Amino acid sequence: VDTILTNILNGISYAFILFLLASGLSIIFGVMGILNLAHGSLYMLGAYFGLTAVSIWSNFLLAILIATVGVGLVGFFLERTFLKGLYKKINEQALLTLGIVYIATNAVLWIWGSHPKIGKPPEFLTGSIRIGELLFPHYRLGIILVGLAVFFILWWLQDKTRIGATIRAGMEDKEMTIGLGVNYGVISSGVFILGAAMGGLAGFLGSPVIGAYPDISMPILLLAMIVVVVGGLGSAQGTLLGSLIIGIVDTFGTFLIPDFSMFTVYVIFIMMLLVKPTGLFGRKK
Amino acid sequence: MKGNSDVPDKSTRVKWWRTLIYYSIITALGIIVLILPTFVSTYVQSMIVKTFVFAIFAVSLNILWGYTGLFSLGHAVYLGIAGYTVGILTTRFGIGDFWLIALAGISFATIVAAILAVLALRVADTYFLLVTLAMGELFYSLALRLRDITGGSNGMAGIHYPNLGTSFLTINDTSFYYLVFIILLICLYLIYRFIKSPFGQVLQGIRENESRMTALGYNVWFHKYIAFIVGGLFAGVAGVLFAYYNHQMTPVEFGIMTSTMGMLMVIIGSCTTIFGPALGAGIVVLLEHLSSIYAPERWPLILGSVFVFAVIFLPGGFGSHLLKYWQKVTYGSIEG
Repeated sequence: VDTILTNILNGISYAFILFLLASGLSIIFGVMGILNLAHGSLYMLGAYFGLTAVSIWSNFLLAILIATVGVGLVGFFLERTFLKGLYKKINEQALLTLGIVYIATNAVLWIWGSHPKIGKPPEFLTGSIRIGELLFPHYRLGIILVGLAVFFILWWLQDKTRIGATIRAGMEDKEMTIGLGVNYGVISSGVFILGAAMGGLAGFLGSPVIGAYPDISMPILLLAMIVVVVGGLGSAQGTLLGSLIIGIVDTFGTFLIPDFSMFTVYVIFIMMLLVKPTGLFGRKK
Repeated sequence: MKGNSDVPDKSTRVKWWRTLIYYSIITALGIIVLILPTFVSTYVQSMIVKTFVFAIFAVSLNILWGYTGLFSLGHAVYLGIAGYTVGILTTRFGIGDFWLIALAGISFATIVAAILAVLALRVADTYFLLVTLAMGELFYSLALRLRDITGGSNGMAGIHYPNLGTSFLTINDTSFYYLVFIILLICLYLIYRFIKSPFGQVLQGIRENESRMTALGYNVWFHKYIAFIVGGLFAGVAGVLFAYYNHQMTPVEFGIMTSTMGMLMVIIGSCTTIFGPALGAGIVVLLEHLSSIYAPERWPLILGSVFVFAVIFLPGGFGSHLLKYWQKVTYGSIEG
């Protein structure tokens, strides 16, 4: 019973890293229709930026800021330079962002070397709390809290504010929204930066749990993709549910059949596509 | 300037010139390829073999991408399946007969394509892209984990040249070159016939307007399914040849890297012509070679930059520009 509970708790904290990661991908796709296959690279950059900041200033909160803002800026650059001209061209977006993956992977290898890096939880989150018989690290609890906070902010932003209403209007009918005098360019850039920054945040917060190495882009992208497909594109609730399912299944998979851990996740993915391709919370196109 | 029936003389003359230039270029290229092995080093020769192999791969990918509108990011799966079949039959079972192994490799790749197509074609557009990407990575991790069968991350080494089942012709580097060249020509011809056939025309109709083709009574799903399988079949041919060319198979051959190399060849070459991707294969192999001389560590960086460059600045690819130029030279104007 203890191992099951441990796995469930670990799975939940892992799920919230996935949630931070996947909601970035999902927002960017849902709102802007941009398929950003470089999202795993943004995650990786977030981890490396943050870890470098920690090694220089040894301040965890500052490192979070640097990872988030730094990757947000990278996202801003990508959107303004390349992706702006590829609106509605999914295939071209996919190829271009795959090119970015190669560039980012090799650049990280060049700058930081091939040695995998593992983050350390900050001083104030090093302990563990006792839940019944078992110890649960403070850091993982912190991730869950941050993930929940981000979920509520996103949900509030999307469903309760004027910005959210504008974004949803733009998702339905971009031309009409622009016609009503909304500066949609600024809003969509903002959404892209937000999505990228969330990828960066996930990368740094996930680094003590998942670690970071130059080839991590593709596996991370696949996890995010599977979460998004299971949950349904463009919905915060769906992404949260998808993350919880994949996080817990993957944790149990790794525990029970370590050699074939990814396959449990792929099985869910393929079953999902056979039964309900639009995802659990997906809207019909 | 099309269809000026009052100047028949000029148009026949132009047509005659065009045919002459066309066949002289083809003949010249053919002769160059045939006599090349006597002049160049074995290294250059093996690079040309690589170009041929990837030309088959890129053209097979383009059946899906350019002609059916199915954007597959997992095309390397069929190359990998066929290549691993060759590797297993050669190194584990000691079979050396080329025809037997090629048949097994290609059939196996085709069967896998037929199975995966059922799953992938349940979804369309963006989801299709994601599913095929995930399939490629699934096979990559399978090849990595099933160590007993695939040799894990080391892959399968020591895939030696096969025999052709005849005693008077043995395969060495040079005769392999000719073998691959002949197979390339056969594949290009077959794919050309496939695309130009009524079936291929329906595929292009599906690419342009799927609902119209449905309304006209075509079984759209079935046409896509067959296109997917044919693409897998020719990727299997490329896989068999790749295994012999490379003398080893590693899990990377299944992965996104190989699939995207094919993609890049198609973008550079042009996805709207049949032979453009073959040209793209030549350019990418050449770039890889140059990079391996000057900056071997930075190849992915260069590859990525070429991707970005090709997507932004080369919409349509070199192939379509060449085609336009060719029409300009021969017709004196561009025909649509």
